[in-house]
Amino acid sequence: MEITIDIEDPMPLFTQIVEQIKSAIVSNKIKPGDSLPSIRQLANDLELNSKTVAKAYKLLERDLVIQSKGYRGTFVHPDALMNSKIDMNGEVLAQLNQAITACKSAGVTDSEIRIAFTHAMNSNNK
Amino acid sequence: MSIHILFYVLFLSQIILISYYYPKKIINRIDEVIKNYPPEGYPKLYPESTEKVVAAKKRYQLLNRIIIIIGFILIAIYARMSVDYDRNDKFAEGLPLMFGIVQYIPFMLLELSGFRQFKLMRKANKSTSRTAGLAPRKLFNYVSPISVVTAIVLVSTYLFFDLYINNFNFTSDFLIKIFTLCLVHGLFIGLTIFHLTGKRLDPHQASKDRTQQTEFSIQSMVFCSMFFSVFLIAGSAVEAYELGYMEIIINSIYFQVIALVGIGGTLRAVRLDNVNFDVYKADKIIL
Repeated sequence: MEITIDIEDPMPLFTQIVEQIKSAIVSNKIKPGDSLPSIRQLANDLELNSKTVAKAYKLLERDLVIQSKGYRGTFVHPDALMNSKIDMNGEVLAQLNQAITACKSAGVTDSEIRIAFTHAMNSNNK
Repeated sequence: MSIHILFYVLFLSQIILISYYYPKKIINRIDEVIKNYPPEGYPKLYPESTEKVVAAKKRYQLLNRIIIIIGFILIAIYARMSVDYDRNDKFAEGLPLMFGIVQYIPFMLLELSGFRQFKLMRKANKSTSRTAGLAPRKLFNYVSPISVVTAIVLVSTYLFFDLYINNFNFTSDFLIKIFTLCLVHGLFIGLTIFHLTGKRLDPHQASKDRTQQTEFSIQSMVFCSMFFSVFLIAGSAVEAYELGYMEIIINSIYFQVIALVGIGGTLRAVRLDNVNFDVYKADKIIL
């Protein structure tokens, strides 16, 4: 199984990696428990900075699509299939659109929405 | 006298094998590639003009011819001088070793030229699309654990054997051998890590060809490690049992075995009809 990225695609490189690994899981090309290449190997094969691949792996790990087992390497998570199918982006986008529309109807300006959004994100991350 | 005849046969075989037979095979292969996969159909294969490739090939050919002549001169000098020596004496034992190193210079230059070609290929590669496999490359996917364990056992055997015959004294000779052993194995380990996780030298190479190349390289390094340990054990045995006259024979055999495994193995493992040359066509994307 191979993944292909396009360095001139407007989609960020780490997102392309995340999407392609999820797509490989959904199409059963890689299965739960399968081992994945190391960050260094994938970065060198794709001629990318290893930080980009590390970021993609971190996001996949956070979404419980892959799991790191220390020196043994990185593996596809047992619940990867289910976690790869859920399109969180669509859900989040729909919620945000609803909130933005509501704010705009109430007369809130774009910059006020952006500031409020950043403030909400920052306070949630604390 | 018989030991001298044996040496002549082996040294002649060393000259022919490393400086005539394998270079001829390599040159035939270069010609075959240029003939069957010309720049018009496979432009990605030629980051430089074919004239430069032909010039490099001729330089390689000339260098090997010079080495063959030097080899024959050395045989003549050896024949002239060896009559003065007793058959059980150590005589010119470094000759096959030093000459063997010289014989490998054209191959090293050819390798360096290959690296330069790959660099130019990478520079000329304008594709924005990049592909990678999702299977990890692990050592034991390419070489059997038995081979690796055998190589480790042979290194340990050599260390124990050398210490045993020297009554467990760390002599300066032993320390030099340890240093050489570490240097050679450090290089092998570094090259293995590079093959497993390093950058792809040829940006167009098909993944199947890369897998095959990695497999062959790692396996030949493991076998070279085994032969190196055997060579060191034989060297120590020669010293311990006062078989000095055998050293020159062992040195010549060692270089020929390395050539058979390294160069011969590459030529056998990487066959042109098995290589995917379609990736070098202008209208194809990287596979």
